[in-house]
Amino acid sequence: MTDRLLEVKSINTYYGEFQALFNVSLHVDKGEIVALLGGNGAGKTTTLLTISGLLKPRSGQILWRGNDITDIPAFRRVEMGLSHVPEGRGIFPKLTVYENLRVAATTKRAKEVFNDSLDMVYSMFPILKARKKQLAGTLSGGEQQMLAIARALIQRPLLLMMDEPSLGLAPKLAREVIFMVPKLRDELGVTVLLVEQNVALSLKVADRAYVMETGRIVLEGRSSELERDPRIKTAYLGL
Amino acid sequence: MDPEILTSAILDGLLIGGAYALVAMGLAMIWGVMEIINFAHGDFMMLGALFTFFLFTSAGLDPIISALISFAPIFALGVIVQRGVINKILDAPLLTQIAATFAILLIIRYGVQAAFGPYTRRLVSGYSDIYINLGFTTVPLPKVIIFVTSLIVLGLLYVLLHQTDLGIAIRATSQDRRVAQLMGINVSRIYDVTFGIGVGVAAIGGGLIALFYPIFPEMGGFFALIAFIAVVLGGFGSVYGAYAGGLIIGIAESVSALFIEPALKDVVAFLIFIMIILVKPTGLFGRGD
Repeated sequence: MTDRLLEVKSINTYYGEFQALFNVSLHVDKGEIVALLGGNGAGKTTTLLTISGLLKPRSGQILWRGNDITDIPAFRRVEMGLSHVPEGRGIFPKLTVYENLRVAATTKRAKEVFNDSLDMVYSMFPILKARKKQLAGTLSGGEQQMLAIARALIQRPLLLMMDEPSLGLAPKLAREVIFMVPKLRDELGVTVLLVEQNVALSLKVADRAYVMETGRIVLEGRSSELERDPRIKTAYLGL
Repeated sequence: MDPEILTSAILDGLLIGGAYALVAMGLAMIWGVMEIINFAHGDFMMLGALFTFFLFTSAGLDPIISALISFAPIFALGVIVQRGVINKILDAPLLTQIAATFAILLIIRYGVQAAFGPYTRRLVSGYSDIYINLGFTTVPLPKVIIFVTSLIVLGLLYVLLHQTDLGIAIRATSQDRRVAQLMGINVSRIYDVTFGIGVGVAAIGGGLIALFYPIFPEMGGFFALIAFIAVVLGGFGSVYGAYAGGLIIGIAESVSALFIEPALKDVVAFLIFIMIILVKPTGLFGRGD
């Protein structure tokens, strides 16, 4: 019996009258790393925003550990263990590094273990400890990404959704960030839903993947199978 | 010009500036966090003055204590207004927002007039006739009280915004409303508290202004305008900038009254406003929160 954390059932999300998602369905089981792949404008970010509750689907359901959370506001989903590192990192530039981490522990659950969590993220990312009193807006792109991940970890998530963590980073740093994902799973037991444009690297770290195009899921399967799929090879891997 | 006259004019303006600053800080905080211009701000201030007056005359409470107490009911009223009106227009076009907060202004102002009459009331207390002798000049105690209170409120707001979890959440929400929700912050609750504190602080200002200023239903109009100019001067949205803006307007008015017809001194505030808009529209201090 698998432990299903998240199940998205044919959601349709709109921006005004523009339909961005068409019957998107996906699921994530506990302990998995699942990648959501596709080009610009495919609907990956919209999918994550709908899962975290910042967007409301016009139809469809979002189940969290079997319970319908479609109508639950975003801030309550954090308390339930659903964390979202948004596109563009979403750090608060005019809060210090420490304040960014502190504000992540808004939920009761996260607040109770904040000091332990803080030690944990400081030992994972020593640079954040060194810069804790600095305004987050003064950090480099890579450091901001570390802060964004650290902030999500402070929330003690069951499921961590990361929206293009490698975006805007130098290739070496981008690699490092993506290869951090299996470490998060293995060492902290966090399940991960990873949105990426970097298909080749993502397939290396993910167990399973979904591929989106123009608001629809067009392919899904185990990463090892998708890596060999001719459609993936031509469209995304440049082979 | 006699330097003593100039010094006492500056001092008097500084003290009055404390009153302006009390009204302006809340206006700046509401704008900074919610991006709403609260046109009714001066009327919440007037409610504070009226509440203080009634607490003093009916219950015989010390007017300063009454002014501080007025924070609580006006805070509560602010939360109700935020939930009932402001929360529904946060994403509305600017004109809708202006119309809505202007409607609140009308309801409060003319509601008070209907309920308590259009009279001008004066709060005459034991503080009214006390002057503090500084050697070169004397200053009226009520103005000293309002200035000292403005400093204390400024300090309390600083501690709230920088040393408490609630304050950090308020600042986070002001920077990014969406990401704040991903932090687990209940943004509507932050708006409740922000609006409540903003108008509550103005109410304290109103209550203390009543120690030396007549109370009437339209009294908020003048102070709201001054507060608005102070907020622009301080760089839209910065609580500390608005505080400094309030003091600057107070001093400018008071000093200019030495040179021009005192009745025209209110014009000075608007001249400052026009100059700021022309020369440095981001305000003297930029926006720092």
